[in-house]
Amino acid sequence: MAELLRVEGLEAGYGPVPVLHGIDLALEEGGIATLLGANGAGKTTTLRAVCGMVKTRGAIRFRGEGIEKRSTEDIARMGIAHVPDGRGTFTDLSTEENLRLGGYVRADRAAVAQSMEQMYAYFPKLAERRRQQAGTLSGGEQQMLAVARALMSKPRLLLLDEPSFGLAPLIVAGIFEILRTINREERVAILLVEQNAAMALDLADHAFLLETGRIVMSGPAARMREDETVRRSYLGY
Amino acid sequence: MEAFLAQVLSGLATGGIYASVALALVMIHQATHLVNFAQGEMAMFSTYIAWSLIHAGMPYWAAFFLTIAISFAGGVVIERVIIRPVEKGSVLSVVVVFIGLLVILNAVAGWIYSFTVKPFPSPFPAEPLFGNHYLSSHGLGAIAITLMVVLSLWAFFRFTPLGLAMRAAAQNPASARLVGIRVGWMKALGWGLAAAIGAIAGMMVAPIVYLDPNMMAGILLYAFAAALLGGIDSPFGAVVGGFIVGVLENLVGTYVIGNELKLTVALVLIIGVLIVKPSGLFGRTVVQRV
Repeated sequence: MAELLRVEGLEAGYGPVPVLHGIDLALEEGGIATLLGANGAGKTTTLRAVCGMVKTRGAIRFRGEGIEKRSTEDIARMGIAHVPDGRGTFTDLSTEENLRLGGYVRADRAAVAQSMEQMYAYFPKLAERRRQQAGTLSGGEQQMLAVARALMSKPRLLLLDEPSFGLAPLIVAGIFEILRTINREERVAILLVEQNAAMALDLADHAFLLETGRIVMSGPAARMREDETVRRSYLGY
Repeated sequence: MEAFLAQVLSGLATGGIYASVALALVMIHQATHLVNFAQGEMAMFSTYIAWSLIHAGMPYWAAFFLTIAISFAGGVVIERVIIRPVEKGSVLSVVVVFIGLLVILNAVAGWIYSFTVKPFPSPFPAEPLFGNHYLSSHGLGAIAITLMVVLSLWAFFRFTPLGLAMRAAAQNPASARLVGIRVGWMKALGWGLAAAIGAIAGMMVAPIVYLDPNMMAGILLYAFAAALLGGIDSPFGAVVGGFIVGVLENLVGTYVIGNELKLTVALVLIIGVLIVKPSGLFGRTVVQRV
């Protein structure tokens, strides 16, 4: 399968504080990879670096094209959709307006309308809340909205930052189920950052383990799950 | 009673102009979260452009729309060239740039057109419409134009994808970038719209107060009061605030303190609103966790 994303020697940080010290990772077209690691390891920063939200050094190639110097807007238009931590909801706008914004860069209005119906099919809860102000949605609904908004742009790559954060286990399971469906049906690749390592390894086919800004281990998700260190430190048994 | 009605109606007419300027203030506040002190001078400069066009022999309405277009472009250029480089700086540095812009526009207008007062034509007939003698045709026309501006702005923000994108960019710039909205250009567009609205206000007020480089000074103060009264983050509030301030100013001026002290009404209103209800009538109270 063709390679979708390749990151080489990626360094990034906030002001004078370096966070990433040379990250290498790759993701195939239609694949699901997960970034595991403790708090502060640099998982979120890696996602932010990929879509140009922090200053970086090193190479980031998306579908063979270097994007490390591109602006966030341009990267979004190239087909990378980012569901940020905190969900990035437009709280004052309605659910439907949030979704419409997700499709903002697509020229074909009819196709956007079709995508919106598709999203309401994936997330029936959102259809019920169509006209409701997005800030008044529950945490789980807002997470669904964030994923749906990202998918509205018909991305090739979905960056997901802790979709389980602050949600009840049952809702998390539902969201992960939909992610699996979306990956299969829309052929969108996923790069997932997740605290819940067990669920992430279940969903992903490849995993990278981050420790203080470095990748210390990587491999197929099934093999990572068997690994002694991963099991003890991140799966907790 | 008749005098009272006349005062209310003429208050509504000037109120429409305050409403327009207040609306322009709110537009820029949405984009930058700051109050543009140069808004009045921008409107004044636009009015001089209209005056030049009319003097060059252009028919009034052609000059009117051309001035709006030029002002829009001017607003975009001001944002791109002057505001953008300092935007990331401290609040104080942006405010100083606003004040610099005010002084420069005022001085340049005086330099080009001189500080002598000029008459400015009204597009509306001199005799009152519909046989009423409470309100001049110009007053009525100014109200109608204000309402038209408000209505088209509302439709633009409510129904067009670009309007939605501008709202999104003002509300959550980081998320707006993630969906591919060019936030910088949305801000420039906000400035362009504000400048265009200001131009309309300037052309509507100039036949009443006459054209000179300082004509907007008092009006800007009333517009501040209107925007604060309505809530600085609410376009709807700015319009309502404008009409309220216009009527209040007239009534207080006529019946309470006399016309010479009218401007203090604005000042008292500003201070009053800030003390009693800082978020204004229609504004949102921002609660922030620290």
